Amino acid sequence: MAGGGSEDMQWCFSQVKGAIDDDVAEADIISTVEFNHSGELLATGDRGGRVVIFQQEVENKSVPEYRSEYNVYSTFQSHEPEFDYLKSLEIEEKINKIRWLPQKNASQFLLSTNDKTIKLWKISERDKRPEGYNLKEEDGRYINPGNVTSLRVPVFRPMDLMVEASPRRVFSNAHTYHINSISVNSDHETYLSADDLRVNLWNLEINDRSFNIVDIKPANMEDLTEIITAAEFHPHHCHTLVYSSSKGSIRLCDMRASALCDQHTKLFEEPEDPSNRSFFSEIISSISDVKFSHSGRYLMTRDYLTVKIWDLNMETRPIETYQVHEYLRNKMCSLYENDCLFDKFECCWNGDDSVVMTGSYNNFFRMFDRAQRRDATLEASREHNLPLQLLKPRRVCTGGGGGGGCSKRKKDEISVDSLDFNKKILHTAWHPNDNIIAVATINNLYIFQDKVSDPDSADDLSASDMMCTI
Amino acid sequence: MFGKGAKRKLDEEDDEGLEGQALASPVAPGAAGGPGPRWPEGPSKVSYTLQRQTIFNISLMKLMYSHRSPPAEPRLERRVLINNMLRRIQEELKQEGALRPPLLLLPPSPPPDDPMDETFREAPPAAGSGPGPATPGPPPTMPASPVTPASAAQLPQQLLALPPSPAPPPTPHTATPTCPPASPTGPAPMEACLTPASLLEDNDTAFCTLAPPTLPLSPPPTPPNCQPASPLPLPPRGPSPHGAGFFPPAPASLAPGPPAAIAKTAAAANTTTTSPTAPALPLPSPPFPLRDSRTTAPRAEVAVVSPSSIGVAADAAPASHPYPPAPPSPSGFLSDLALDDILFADIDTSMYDFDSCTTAGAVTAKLSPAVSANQPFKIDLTELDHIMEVLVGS
Repeated sequence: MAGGGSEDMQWCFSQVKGAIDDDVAEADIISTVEFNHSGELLATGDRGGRVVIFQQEVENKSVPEYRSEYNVYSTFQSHEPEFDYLKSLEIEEKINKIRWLPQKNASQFLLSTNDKTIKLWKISERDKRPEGYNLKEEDGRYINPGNVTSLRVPVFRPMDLMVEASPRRVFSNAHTYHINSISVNSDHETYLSADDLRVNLWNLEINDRSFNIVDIKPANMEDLTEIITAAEFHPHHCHTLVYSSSKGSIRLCDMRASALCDQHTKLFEEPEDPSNRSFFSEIISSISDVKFSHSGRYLMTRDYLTVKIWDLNMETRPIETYQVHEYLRNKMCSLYENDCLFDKFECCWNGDDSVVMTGSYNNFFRMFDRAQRRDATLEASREHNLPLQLLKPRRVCTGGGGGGGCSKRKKDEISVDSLDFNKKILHTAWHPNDNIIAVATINNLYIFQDKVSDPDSADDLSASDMMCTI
Repeated sequence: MFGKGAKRKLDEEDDEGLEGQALASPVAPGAAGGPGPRWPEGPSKVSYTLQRQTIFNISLMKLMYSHRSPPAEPRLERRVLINNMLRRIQEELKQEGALRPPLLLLPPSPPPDDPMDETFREAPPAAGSGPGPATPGPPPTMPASPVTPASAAQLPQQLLALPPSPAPPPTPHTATPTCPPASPTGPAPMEACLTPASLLEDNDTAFCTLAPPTLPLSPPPTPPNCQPASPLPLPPRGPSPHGAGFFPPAPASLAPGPPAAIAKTAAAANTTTTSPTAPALPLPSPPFPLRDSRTTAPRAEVAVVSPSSIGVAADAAPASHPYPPAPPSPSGFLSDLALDDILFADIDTSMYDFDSCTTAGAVTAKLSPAVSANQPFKIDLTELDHIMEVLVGS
């Protein structure tokens, strides 16, 4: 409910999941976040190979401004660490991506993947069980059939809800390199998985065979200069997919054209700005995430410093470019040295494609309202965790000299030099139909919702508070 | 990286010294899509070269050092990006090298009146004119004649002959091309030698090791000085009176270990007499012992940068430095290597690559399964022994 034209979206805290202490176990680090198609379920994957699913409770209609909470619905171990004996290397169990399948029956299905193996999980509920069998003794031993003299039909009686997750398919041994993306096709029958050099097409029912549709591996690995960083199917056209590269280009492929889509149908690439050229131009141009809009008309890409919106009909340049943290441009050498320059930030659309969101450092995340040309910087921190507490916009000030040029201790301002690069928000998700967002810090999951504005309320923040450009 | 939750303050010096300069100095010529060579003039050129060198070193260290335990497969994207970075820098150095004698890595921020500045100020115009034609820039003292092992003794002379402006540090690239067949058939063209890409992939740390011996060579250099992807991390001594190249500080320990040739200069850089401050990049400081500690040990200490010590260093070099023979066919051994999948999908085997460069028969080293970091050194030392015997024998 973005509201009327000039109404600003204000976000307030809803919930936070995860351990409180600062001592973060490596296994607890969240590595992916994804809402299902209805938004009722929210799945997270972590480096320990576990998947935790939260479910939104039935809305409490008596308290309209308080949306339902997400509570733990199911937890299971999706992937285990493996050891590749041939190469003497460990295969991490970290969950790289989770993608939900559209719901077809009472059960939910999702795909989860680590570096090498994709698994299809079925999450089903059990809240009834048959009772009344007369085939067993009290202690559980089977009665001698000869002693059974009457027929008693068991009946289903309610039981405590039990949520079971069972692996229905395991898709393995199809990727030599690290899987970075999976995407369910709009035909609900196939899906793609992409690693650094190849994109494979699978049928959800067949796990021992996959088709390779994109292969950019050069004949001589010495010539390798570009790899695939992300791939996704078009939301409506089951023959269209895109994949992004480490050089900042996006290729759209049509599977109707040929079996092997090495030749792209469209190439989306923006010419480099010569004034911004530096040693790190290539690294920061590497696209870390690519997402189709819900409408299927636009494409969003995230590289290190920007979010770009592309119109599928125009390949020459993006139609919109948003600066996420331009103030980092002067710090790239240090960021390169401490590996932050390789961080892969994700991005997401809201339900009606009017706002996009992505993460940054210091537990900041950024929202860009496309229609109103506004942007905001918010922070996910434990300091503002009162229920329904409004998030105050944050601001990063740049400027040379000591102190980062910030105005004297202005509240909510922080200098670039004080940013904590350990606290990075790489994964964010937006509810498909509502203004509820899930933001993952290193080991916590924050859920924010927009404030249900009360027309009679006098405590709405002024518009200037929401304007926060960097 | 950082400690838990600790906020990292960016080094002011680092910030201003490098980051700012980087912006002021656009990327060098040859950049795709660039309008042509655009060399920053004056001091910014030095900073540019400085930063380039820093990035170069950082890149090498990234490729070499694996943070994981137990070792997991290196991320391909990371490796590709770092490799591309190294390639780009190498291309730049190659073009620079084509214009003037190979340069050693610059010392950190030389003072304004440093003769080194003169050298670089002259470089840009030459670069501006495009690669190829000899540049009027480099001081005439730049030894135009190739330095042969036999004439190693001349080295000090030549070095000493460089009055104020020391010979620019040899580019890793050019040093490599000097790795022609053992039989002196004259300077082999750069192209005939290991391709830069090959070098990059196989000999990650070879570059910064640019052995001093190959030092002030005008391209193309001669055989004996061939420092192919030599694992010999000879300290960039001599030429630069202001400090052996610009290597990140690292313990000058000489124990066998990862071939962090770059570590070499650490000692030198720290002892430079001219500029006390290296851009304080907080590079990781695991003990990066020198590969050929045996042979380069003495030199590490003498890699002090002062004109007077140049001769000493130079002298020391020929005496104890075994010029590794070039592989019979510069790129031949590479073809033996099954680079596919091994190069990028295997664990970080860059340290093995040195072996394959120093000896033609070291292919097996590259194919060996992942082992502890110490092993490659042991292989290395034995190879060096062999090389020395061959050299001495011939």
